[in-house]
Amino acid sequence: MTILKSILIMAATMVAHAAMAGMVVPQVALEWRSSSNNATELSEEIEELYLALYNSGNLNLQTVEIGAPPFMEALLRSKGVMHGAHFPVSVDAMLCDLNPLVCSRRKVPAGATELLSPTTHVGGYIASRGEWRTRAGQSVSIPDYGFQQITTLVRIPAPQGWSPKDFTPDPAMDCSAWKSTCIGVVERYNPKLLKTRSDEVSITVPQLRLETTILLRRDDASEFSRQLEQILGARSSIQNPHEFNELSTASKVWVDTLSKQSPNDLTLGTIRQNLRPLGTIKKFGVGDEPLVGQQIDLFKLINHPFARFEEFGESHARPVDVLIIDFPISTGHCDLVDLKFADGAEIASPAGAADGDGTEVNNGSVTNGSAGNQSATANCAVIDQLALSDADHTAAVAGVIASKENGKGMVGINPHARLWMMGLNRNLLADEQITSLARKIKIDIPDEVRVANLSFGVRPLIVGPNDFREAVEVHGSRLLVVAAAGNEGLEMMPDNCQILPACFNKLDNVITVVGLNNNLKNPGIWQSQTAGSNSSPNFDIGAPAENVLTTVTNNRFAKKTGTSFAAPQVTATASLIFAAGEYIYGDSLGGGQIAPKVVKDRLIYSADFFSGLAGRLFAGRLNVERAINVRDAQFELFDGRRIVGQVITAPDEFVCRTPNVAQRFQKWYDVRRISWNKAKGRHFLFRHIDGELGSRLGQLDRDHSCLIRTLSAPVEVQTSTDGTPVVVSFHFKDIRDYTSPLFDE
Amino acid sequence: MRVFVLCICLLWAGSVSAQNRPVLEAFIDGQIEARDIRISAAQWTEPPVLWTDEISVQGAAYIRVLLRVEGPAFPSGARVKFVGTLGQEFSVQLDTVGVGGYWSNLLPLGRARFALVSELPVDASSVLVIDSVAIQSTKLVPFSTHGENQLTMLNASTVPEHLRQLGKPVAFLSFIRDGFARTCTGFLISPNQLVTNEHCINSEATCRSMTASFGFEVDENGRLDFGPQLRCAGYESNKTNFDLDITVVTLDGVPGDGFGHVDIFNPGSVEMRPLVIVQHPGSEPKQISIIDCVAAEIYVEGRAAGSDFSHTCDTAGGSSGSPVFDLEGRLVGLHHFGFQDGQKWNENRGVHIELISNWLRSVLSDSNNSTGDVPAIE
Repeated sequence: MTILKSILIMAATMVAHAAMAGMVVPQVALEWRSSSNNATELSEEIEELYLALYNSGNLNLQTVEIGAPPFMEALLRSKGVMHGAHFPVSVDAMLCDLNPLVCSRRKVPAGATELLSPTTHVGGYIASRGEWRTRAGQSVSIPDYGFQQITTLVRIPAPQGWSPKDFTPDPAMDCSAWKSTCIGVVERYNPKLLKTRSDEVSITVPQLRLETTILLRRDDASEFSRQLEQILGARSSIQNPHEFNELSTASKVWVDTLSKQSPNDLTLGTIRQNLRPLGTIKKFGVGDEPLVGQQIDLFKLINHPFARFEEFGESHARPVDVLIIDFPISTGHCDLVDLKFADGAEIASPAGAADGDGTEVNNGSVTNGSAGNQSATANCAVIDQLALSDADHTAAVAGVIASKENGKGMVGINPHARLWMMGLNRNLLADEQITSLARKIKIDIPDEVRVANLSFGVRPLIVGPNDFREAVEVHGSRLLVVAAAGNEGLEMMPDNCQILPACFNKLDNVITVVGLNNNLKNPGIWQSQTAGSNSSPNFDIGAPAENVLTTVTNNRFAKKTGTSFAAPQVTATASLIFAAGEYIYGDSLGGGQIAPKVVKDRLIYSADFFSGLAGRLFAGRLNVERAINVRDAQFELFDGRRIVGQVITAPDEFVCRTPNVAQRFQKWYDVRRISWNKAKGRHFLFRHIDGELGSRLGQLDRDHSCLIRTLSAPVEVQTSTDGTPVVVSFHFKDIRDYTSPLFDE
Repeated sequence: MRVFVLCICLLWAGSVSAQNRPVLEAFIDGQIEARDIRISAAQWTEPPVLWTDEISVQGAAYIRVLLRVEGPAFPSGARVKFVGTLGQEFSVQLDTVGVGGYWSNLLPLGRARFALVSELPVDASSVLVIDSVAIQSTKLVPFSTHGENQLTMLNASTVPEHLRQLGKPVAFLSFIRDGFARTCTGFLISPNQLVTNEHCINSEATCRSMTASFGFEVDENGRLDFGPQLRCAGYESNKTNFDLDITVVTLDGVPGDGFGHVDIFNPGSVEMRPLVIVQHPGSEPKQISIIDCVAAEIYVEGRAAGSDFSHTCDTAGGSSGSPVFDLEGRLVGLHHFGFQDGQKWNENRGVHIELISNWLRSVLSDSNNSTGDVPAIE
């Protein structure tokens, strides 16, 4: 699972240098944490840590009395400074060099290649076993570190046939941070998954980790130290000198090599993957989000890869700019990306309190806390249902879209999106609000923005909607507008649709989102006791609108309900389609962009369809995975197989039995979706019409009933298993569901 | 005479000559819809926030919510917190709701989120009921008494600063009576006492449902503000005069500290010269009638003989209870109704403030004699 891929700077402390031989006031203190999943790897991690510190003169030492039996490995393990399955030769050699009075060894100078890394030699010599002359009662120098055991969750490949019942916790594991036993945690994080075998997915299990503090000498040549000073200034908290190793037994070649570079930077470059984030973090995994457990239900409803803790690949991680037009907001959030404004202003994610823990053991103290309680919100995991203000609304929309994957709080549908903000002015009179908004939309939207989320509606009193409509329409080639249907619980007929911008969805670049309830298998229109989603047979797509966990102001979280929080799910998914589509098809686009209509139609025809929603909205419920897999054809066969890949063979045309001649012959390259309607015993189709063959810019048409007569035609799909192409064959009649790639090539 | 904007609030029930008394009615500003939404233990989540939801009525300038409680009383501190637009945020303590229920403050723009909150355990049989919602729905209709409509937003650049200041103590009143949501105008005559018409507030029930919104104005930059809302702290029948169509009520706060008040005991007198009326016509933000606004007849029949003067100032439904000033800023009258002749209005009427001032002195004097206290009004 996760995984710190890189760390910019760690919290540290600047102190003055003390010029004592061996005794030095450290300059910085950093948290080191093991990441290995077995005892052998743990030995190697500790070996790497010690060598990196020793060879740069940063190894903390203590003098201890050797006991019986007088073996160094036994001594180190008894003092808690050696862990893992074995005792590496390098560690033995290092100890030997630290204790020349009781040990000697064969010293072969390391070659130039070995000297490139501080972990492939010991003081400039090849590692070799020491010849120890120790007796019980003698004093020796050994590393001085206090290792603590902690429990964290990790994501690992599933062993063959694994089930949660196979997990046996180590007695040392402590899962109380998750308010559960470790067995309970395993059950919670590894639900039964549809259409997957246990060996096809990874699993989430608790693991023990070791943690310790490492201290580094002052090093004026260190770039790391320079950056640290910029961040922390000259704050000082480490006052006590510590004993560091001197490189008195190192080879002259190594001493000369070290003198030409920064010892601290050399150390950090080697062990940085084990340094715990206390500053700016670049990447976390979904499983690190303390509140992600409360998002799983939503992720399942919309079939988001995060439901299975699957990370996005390179194609979907490309940042896409998303605009949120909502109420004004003036503060950032510990779990949100930086917020940009069209006038150049920017609200950064707050540093400080929220940048501390909350990564692994902090599972989120979920309480109904009071607003603005700084101490309660410092861990960036507090749920507060009293976050009801307009600014909370804005922050909530932002969180659904792009809450960061940072080991805090929750994660958004597209944590890689970049957020722009545009404030609504509700202080204007009703008609002036529309005029003002139309002007802003027409003029102020930055060029980079590809998707805009409008989780609000206005009903004009006097002024016609033309200004507003025109302002949206002019962005037809560059911006997809996602509109919430509104929470008045109205069934709006096409000729009486008055709420804007929801009723603009006949425009190619406007998609309107209806709120759905959280019923997985048979969703309906969301309705609460005092509100409910507006609906219309013309509204495009649905998304869950109940209890959506998201960010709110003051570094809090809340479960929000309403179409305002359904729309951003579609917004974020649209941004993922833009990201992957322009990444994969960029060469054929000639540097161009995907038209908003293409993305709008993709969201519609890739949705999950339910009989209970028929007639209430045009498509069904958002299906993220189906929508964002823009590269492949996706088949589900009647025999349960799911086949995803490139279509090698398929009939260019297939036949439906129908008295409607216009619907009889279907051209493969115009069909976007074939899906089985169990109630009718027929398929329904989505296809593009009124355009060139294969074009995505024609009208997206829905054929409600196709009894397919093209039965035996072969279909061949090239899939991939472990990178090796495999061709899967079946007949056309086997297709229960088919979704086309975003483009045919 | 071009007709302008809509609803009519104060009506004669026939021609003046044919009737002895006008039928006065506060501006009906919307309808009340029964909802009967019951929030019981089955809907509650983890304390202290037991339930949240929202309400949205597109096109309404505001809504109000009638809360009731059924079953065992909610514990002390249990409340419904409302968060509305334009900075409106307030709580209704459920132990004050009473049997008849309690109307919330105005929720501007028809949208609000609310939460049931209780730090103490709540009896599982207690039920919060959202009984009804008052929905502002009346739109302005063309209307003016004299020539073009010349009502002007109070903070428009054409309004002199000293006249803007006159409008600060003027409040938008909303209350419920006879199954309708209604509006009037009122103004402070002390830091916490407010004057309006008797035909607006005339009972404990209307007082209990009344909110006085100060600062409901469009500012110099065209931004809509909605200041604090205060409630009527209690109805005192001795501070109501039917003939002079006046009621004085005490508010549950001291808005005069921020908005000032009008000096009712040093009034001016109505003469044939320009007048100024600051008012809330319909459901509109605070406006001022300043153009083509003069006294027409000095003494005409009102509810009492010779109690009124007529004027040509533009007003509309909801303007009842507005203060009438002379250009020096002295209070000269209390606007209370107008006439309609077919489709045309031809004059409006106000009560001479001298009569009101004298009556109020006597009321306060009686009060003083009976209690020995200093009069409530300074």
